[in-house]
This record gives sequence, C-alpha cells and structure tokens, in this order.
Amino acid sequence: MQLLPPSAQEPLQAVPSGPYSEPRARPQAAPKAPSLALSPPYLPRIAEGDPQAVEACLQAYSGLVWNIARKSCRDTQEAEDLAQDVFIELWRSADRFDPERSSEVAFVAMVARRRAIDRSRRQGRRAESSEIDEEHADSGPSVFEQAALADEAALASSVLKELKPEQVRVLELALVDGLTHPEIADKTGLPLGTVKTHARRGLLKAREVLENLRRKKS
Amino acid sequence: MTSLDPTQRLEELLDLDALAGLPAEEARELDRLSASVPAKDLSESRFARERAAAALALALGAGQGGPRPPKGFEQRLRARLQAEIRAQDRSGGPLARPAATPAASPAVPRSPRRQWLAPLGFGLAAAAAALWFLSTQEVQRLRGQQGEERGRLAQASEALRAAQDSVGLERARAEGAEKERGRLELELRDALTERDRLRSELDALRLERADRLEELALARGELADLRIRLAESEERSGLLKSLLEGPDEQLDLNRLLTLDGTLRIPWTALADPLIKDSEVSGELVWNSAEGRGYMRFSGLPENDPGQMQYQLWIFDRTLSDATPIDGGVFDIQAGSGELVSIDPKIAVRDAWRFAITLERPGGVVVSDRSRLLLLADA
Repeated sequence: MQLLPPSAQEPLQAVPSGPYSEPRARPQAAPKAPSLALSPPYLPRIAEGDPQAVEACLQAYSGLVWNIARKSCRDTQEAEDLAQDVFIELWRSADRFDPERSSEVAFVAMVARRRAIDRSRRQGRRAESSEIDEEHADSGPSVFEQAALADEAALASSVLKELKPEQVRVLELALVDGLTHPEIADKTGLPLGTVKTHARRGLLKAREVLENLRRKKS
Repeated sequence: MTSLDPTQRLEELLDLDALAGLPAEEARELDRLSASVPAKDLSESRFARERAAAALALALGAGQGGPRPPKGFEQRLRARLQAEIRAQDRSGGPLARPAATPAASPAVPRSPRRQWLAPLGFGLAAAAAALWFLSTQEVQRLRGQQGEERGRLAQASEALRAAQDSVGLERARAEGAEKERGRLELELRDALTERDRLRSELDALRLERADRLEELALARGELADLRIRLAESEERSGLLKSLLEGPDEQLDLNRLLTLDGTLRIPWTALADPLIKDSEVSGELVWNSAEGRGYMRFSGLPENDPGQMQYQLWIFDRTLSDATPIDGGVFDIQAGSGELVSIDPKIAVRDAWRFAITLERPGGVVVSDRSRLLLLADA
C-alpha cells in the first residue's frame, strides 16, 4: 500500500521491507475499509514508524474525522483543514494511545472532537452545516458499519436506552450536531439549566459503565 | 453565577467542556479552578469525560452517514501528512519514527579484498608501533589533564547542586504561593457569589418596600376619603335630625288634634301698644285629658329675651281667677317657627281661659297683667 505517489516517496525509502509491503495497491484502487492484512489498532504501529499503518489509519478513520469536522466548521475548506490537523495530531500522539484504556475508534473520535471544540472556541463561532456542500450522498459503509461498534460505543448505546427521549435529543444535538448548550436551549425550547443537566446525566452514566469496563479489562 | 462549591463547579465545567466546549468566560473559570488540582488527576478526569463523550457520540452515529468528503480529500490529506513527516525527519523532531533509522536498513554489500594491498601491511604495522609509543606519552599527559578537568567538573557539579537546591526551594515557594493564590481566588469567587446573592435580596427588599409604600399611600388616600365621607354623613344626619325635630312637634300636634276633647281656640288680640299695629292671629290647641297643648302664632312680634319674654297663663275653674297657672315663658325668634308647646308648671284640671302677657326675662309668679296681649277662652 503506498502512501504517496513515487515522486514524493524519498523520505520513506529507509523503511524496511516487511510482510505488508507486497503487494502494494495503487491509491486509486484503495478500498473504503483498510486491507484485511493490516487490522486495527493502527496507532501503535504508527508510533513504531510503520507507514502502511498510516495509510490504513487514514482509510479507516477519514470518514469519521470528516463527519466530526464538518459539523463544527462553516465551510468545506475549514472542515478539511480541521480534518488534516486531526490526523497530524493522531500521528504525533500515536504513542500516547493505550489500548487498555480505550478503543482506537474512541481515541480517534476523542482527538477529533477535542480539536473541533478547541477550534470553535478559538474562532468564537459555530458551524452552519447548510453551508457545507451536501451534494454528496451518504458516504457509504464505514469501518464502523463493517465491524461491530467499539466496546465503548456499544456500552454507550445501552446507556442511551436508559435515558429519556429529550435527554437523548440534547446529547445528539451536542455530540453529533456540534451545537453549544445555549444553541440547544434555543432549538429545543428547554431552559439552559435543563439542557446542561440532561447532557451531564448522560455523560455521567456513560462514564460509569466505561469505568466498569476498564476495570474488567484490567 | 452559581452557588456550587468550587469542586462541584469544577466537575460541572469539566463535564460541559467535554460535551460541547465552553464559552471563553467559563473556559477561563475552568482554568482557574484547575490550577489547584494536580495535573495528573486533571488529565485523568478530562480523559474519562472525553472518552465517555466520544463513546456517546459514536453511539449516536456521529461517525456514520453524512455527506462524503470533498473530491481529493484523502489525497490532500496524504500530501499534508507526508509533508509533516518529511519536515520532522529532517529536523529530527518527534515524527522521526524509530523504524526509519538506518539500523533497520538492508546491509550494504562489501567489496572483495584486493591482493595488491598485502605488502603495505608491514610498513603500516611499523608506523603503527611508532604511533603507539608516541600515543602512550600523549595518553599520560591527557590523563593528567583529565584529572584536572574532573576536579573542575566536581566543583561545577557542586555549584550546580547548590543552584538546583536553590531553584527547588524557589519552586516550592512559588508552588505554595500559587496554591495560596488559587485558594484566595476561590474565596474571592465565593465572596462575590455571596455579594451577588445579597444584592439580589436587597433588590427584592427594595421592591417589597416600594410596594408597601404604595399600599400605604393608597390606604392614606382611602382614609382621607372615608373622613370626608364621614363628615358628609354627619352633616347629612344633622340636617336630617334638624328636619325631623320640627316635624316631631307637628306630628304630635296632628295626633293631638285627632283626639276627642281637644280644643282649638283662636287668639283674641287686645289693645297693647306692642300689637296694636300688628295683625296677630293664631290658635290655641289644648287637650284636657292629657293636660297639654300647643300655641300657634302669626304676626306676633319677635322679642329680645334679654329685655322681655312672653308668658302664658292658664285659668283653671278649680282655682281662683286671681291666681292663674303659670304656663311658662317663650320667645318669638326669627326662624324659630311659630308653634310653641305648652308646658304647665303644675297639673291643669279644668282650663277655661288662656292669656299671653309680656313680662321681664324669666317671667313672674304673679303678673300685674299690665301688658296683656292675647286671650283665648274655651
């Protein structure tokens, strides 16, 4: 699997030949999901300097990162800049990923969300998703739809089932649509205090079940 | 402003930050409150929250569906990543991955040894021996220098250690001051919260006082109205009373006139200077059974009570004509009406004549009858 066109490959020439270097697929033919020969987690291998893991990581998570980025940006260019920043940060902090503490999917989502939130705060504004080019249809099956949800997400789903519909709605507007709490209050007509309470209740329950999961794993 | 204690507030802000980020003011508050928490604990706390938020986001479908990335997105992403990697490799920065080191590179094949190099070996060996001798002396000299350098190094190390101790002390002081500042900031925040609460209470009390004053003003206005109405009512009742008093005598007279045995005798004016030019008329009404009656006058002149008064005399058949019964004195005043009730001093048994004389104020016991004005004979 190639990272770059041949003209831009010099810095990677020192990488030793390994079981994943042959056969190499052309970028144009890259599938949506990463090659079965290289399965997640990719970040520990990126930390070891494996360029194929970089490509696999990019293919596996670009959809996820793009979806999170576009919700918090005004336009496509901003969203793309943000998505690139997220991957650069994943690259830099790959060695901080600890599979004992979280799944890779959740780690990627965490990094992407934190970046998006920090960027919105710096710019003092929020995305208006209508300005993003929506002409493209559904992005098709992602790595999440091909495989089972990460443990955390599966547990979080069970948490959501215990919440009231309006509490789930508040979480959805905050975590999926990227709205601020005052924006959620405006949209739902709920008092701001109630919005915060609903959102915190969901977060608290999710923390509890995830902490239990971590203890079981350890 | 919130009434939560600092720990609860910190928890709340961390939650809200992980869920949707914080506005600038709350972000600064979070930074302030975080200053008093050990960095490791804070990091763990943030991680747990952000992991939960990410898991919820994934469960809610944050990473699925939606529009495709724009055309060429992944290619541009690759190019950006590659540029970063190249830059880091050149600078030896954190992106220069261990696997990219030459140690893992394929071995470079060695070229075959050349035979013509052998005769040179002996010459080289001799040169090497000479070099070894010279280098031994040089080594000893260098060892001496090394000893001196070690001494200097030990001194420098000692100085460095002292400086480190000093720095450590200063750092401890600075940390103490930082903690104290954090504590004072929390106290200040609490005090400001309390101040705001008290201000709110004061505002509420002011509003309440304004309401009370308004009610008081209204009550005073109502009281003034009531006083005016009371005065009007008293005035009206006085008027009514005065109106009723007259008609009482009239009603009594009317009732008396309906009784059997009531006499109605017209007055006869006599030739007294007071009334000789007047047309005095009227009547006397008397009921013997009840022993009382009324007098009506028309044209009888007003008298000055300080000078003279009218006096009524009642002649009773059972008594001597020389000693008629005193019927009382009365006055004729403007507006006092012309109906006068008869109030005998003693009981009248069988009246046959009534006479009006003019006497000194208070009347007399025995009249000289010099000013006899009117008579009414039954």
